[in-house]
Amino acid sequence: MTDTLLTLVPEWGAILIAVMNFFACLALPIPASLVMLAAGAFAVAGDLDPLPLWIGALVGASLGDQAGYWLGRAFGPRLIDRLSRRRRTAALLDRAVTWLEQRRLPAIFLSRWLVSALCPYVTFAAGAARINWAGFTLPAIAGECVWVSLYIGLGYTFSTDIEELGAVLGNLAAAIGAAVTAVILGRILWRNGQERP
Amino acid sequence: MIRRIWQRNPGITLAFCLAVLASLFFGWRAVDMALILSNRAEKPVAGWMTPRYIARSYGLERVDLAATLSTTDRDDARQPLYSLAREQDVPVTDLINAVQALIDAQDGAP
Repeated sequence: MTDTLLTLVPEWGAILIAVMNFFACLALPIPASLVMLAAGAFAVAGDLDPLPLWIGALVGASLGDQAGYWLGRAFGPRLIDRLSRRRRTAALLDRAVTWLEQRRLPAIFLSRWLVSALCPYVTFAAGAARINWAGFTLPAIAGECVWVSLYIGLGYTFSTDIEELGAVLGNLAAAIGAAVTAVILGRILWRNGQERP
Repeated sequence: MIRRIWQRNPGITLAFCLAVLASLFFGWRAVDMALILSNRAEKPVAGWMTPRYIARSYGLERVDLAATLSTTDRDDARQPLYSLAREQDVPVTDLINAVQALIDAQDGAP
């Protein structure tokens, strides 16, 4: 599958990257990072123009974010209602929504690139928690700018090793995502452990 | 303390343990692959590579590469070896082997 995708990059360029990023931002298991690395590598070789690539990648990712946010707004409240029927889950959910509202900027901005494995879930949660549209969109676009520039730039710089670099970065992103999840869950457990029954 | 945490939140405790294991697993794989990347020899030619990418990555002259791939009479931009092979109706492995031979000849040249 990786070979087929890489074969399509020089032929479809910005359109392919936009589509990949759109679906990757909706939690579909698509190697969007590898495709961006490849795009950077083909750009430095002279096969593709870097500016349309960058724009395509950013537009695709931002539209994916918007789709996830509006899906969260449409279906999130129903999910929250269902989860809130249990007393303990309701308290946890309440705490999670407050946490997200208090740390809106770093949570949305950093989940676009540094903790990219959590990006679709933070997006859905932001929509479900009814965080206002501009308050979500601005840090999201800023974060996507970093993500897109970082990966296309790395492909541009390390063009001869994109497959291996993609594997390293993919695992690193998953490790960071899992570690941040562990820290958040650990804090919840610690606080619950401190409370008296 | 640990027993109390487990009794109160079995689901979250399980998720926490899984997240810790996943971070260790993926972290180890990232380090392992980074070590492989830093220690491995030059990588082989693949079908997804375009002539320009090959010329840049392996330091080949584009004229020599075009002659090997029979693309001297046209612009070979943005066409991966898979697509060139399909167009010329030859197996892609033939083109990969020809390019690899050109790289080996260059590397072996004094």
